[in-house]
Amino acid sequence: MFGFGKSTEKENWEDFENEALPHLEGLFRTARWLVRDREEAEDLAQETFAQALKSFHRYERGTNCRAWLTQIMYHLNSNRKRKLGRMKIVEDTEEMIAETVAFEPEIPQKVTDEEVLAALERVPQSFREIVILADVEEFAYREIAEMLQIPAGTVMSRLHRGRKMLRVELVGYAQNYRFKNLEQTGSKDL
Amino acid sequence: MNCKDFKEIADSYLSNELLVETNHEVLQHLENCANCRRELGARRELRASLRSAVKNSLHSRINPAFAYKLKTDLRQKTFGKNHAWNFFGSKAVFASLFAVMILAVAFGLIWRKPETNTVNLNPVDTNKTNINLPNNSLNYQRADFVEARKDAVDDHKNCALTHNLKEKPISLDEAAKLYGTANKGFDKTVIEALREGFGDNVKFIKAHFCLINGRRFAHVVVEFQKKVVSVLMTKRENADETNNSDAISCQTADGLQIACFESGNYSIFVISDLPETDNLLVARTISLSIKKHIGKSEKTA
Repeated sequence: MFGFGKSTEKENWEDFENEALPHLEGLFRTARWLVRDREEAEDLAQETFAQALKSFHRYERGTNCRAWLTQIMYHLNSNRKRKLGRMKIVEDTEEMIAETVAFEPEIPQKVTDEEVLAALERVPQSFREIVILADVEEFAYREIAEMLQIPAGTVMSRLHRGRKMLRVELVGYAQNYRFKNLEQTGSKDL
Repeated sequence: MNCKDFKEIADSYLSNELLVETNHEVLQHLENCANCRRELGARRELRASLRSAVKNSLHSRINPAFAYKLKTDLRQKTFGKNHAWNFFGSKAVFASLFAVMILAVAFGLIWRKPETNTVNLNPVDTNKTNINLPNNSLNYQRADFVEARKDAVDDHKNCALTHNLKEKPISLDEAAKLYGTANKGFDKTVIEALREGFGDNVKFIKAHFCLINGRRFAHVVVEFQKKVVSVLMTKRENADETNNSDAISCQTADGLQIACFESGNYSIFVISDLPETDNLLVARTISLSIKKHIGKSEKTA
């Protein structure tokens, strides 16, 4: 009698608001490391949530909503890259760089956030994204494999290499940075 | 299992991806091998440093204004611009419901009229807030901070909501001369940050410097999403321990949401009956500008 025809719409929105929207911050963080600048990351996050809202009926309740959203985001991002002609087809160079990192140096003690972020920046994208998804966002190998559409074995090997490269970069950066600092303190003393 | 085997699966162990049996073997090996224990400890530490560096970096922090706009756009996409009409199905039904609501409110006002005439001799004490709630940030559990938070809630209730202050508030300019330069322009900083974040969705109500329970607050009151929101700043009693954390702590008390953070010698509170996420969003939107404002005033002082 009252014509509450759109109440399903309201329920759907409330569901989406409770399940998906709380992950906006985490999703934006991943987007920020995936694309070049803040504006692009905001566009990507916006597209992801618009797409997620549209296909929310496909989301299986009780599963990991953050993983579902991240998968949508990766899918949209590859479409964007393809359109912009930024799709990287050959990743052999990066794989080769990773292969050459045979030596695993000691992890420096008490690293600063600045040192960690600078080292992470220097890890090639295809390894960095897996390190972030596994170590920062704490997704399972299986979830990452689904997001990136690659075999779980590749996730494992890239994570291993990515962590190793991060370690190497971190040692290099920390030594360089501390050496520069020492130099500056030294010149002040003189 | 030997050290070489361990090294090969250390990454999967760290990611908690091993089978139970293999996990058991790793634990057994670690029990007897100090070198691998040390190596694993270093890897764990690096992982924790990475997580905290990425999560805390400004680089990957979302702009609250963007988050708010996104949420509003999505809501509009679902319901259309005038979603109240859509939800209730027809304008006639909505109009009758509206009329019933008006009647109910009017009836409620008449019914409550004798109460509003009663003079409350000690409104501050009778409305005193009793906060005894879980706190999600260890930095904000100091006794002085908890006391300030209670007073801030009392101020929101007695100043912003019911206008029951014992002492007449003074202007922020006057307060700047008497109680610290950070009070000067505090209202401008808050309003500008909110306008930048939420545009015309924020309406300025008042700003002044008021006293409650013996504590003084720079107080800015605004309307956001049809709710009264207080932004309160007070000088810390124990300013020796500087809190450099960027964390914003959230609590609820008496149906109110409280988001608080510290900067320099000041504690800042955002209090309203908005949903928790929206109240936090307001705090996030203004936090950086307020920190800059306080930093600048403390430098000039």
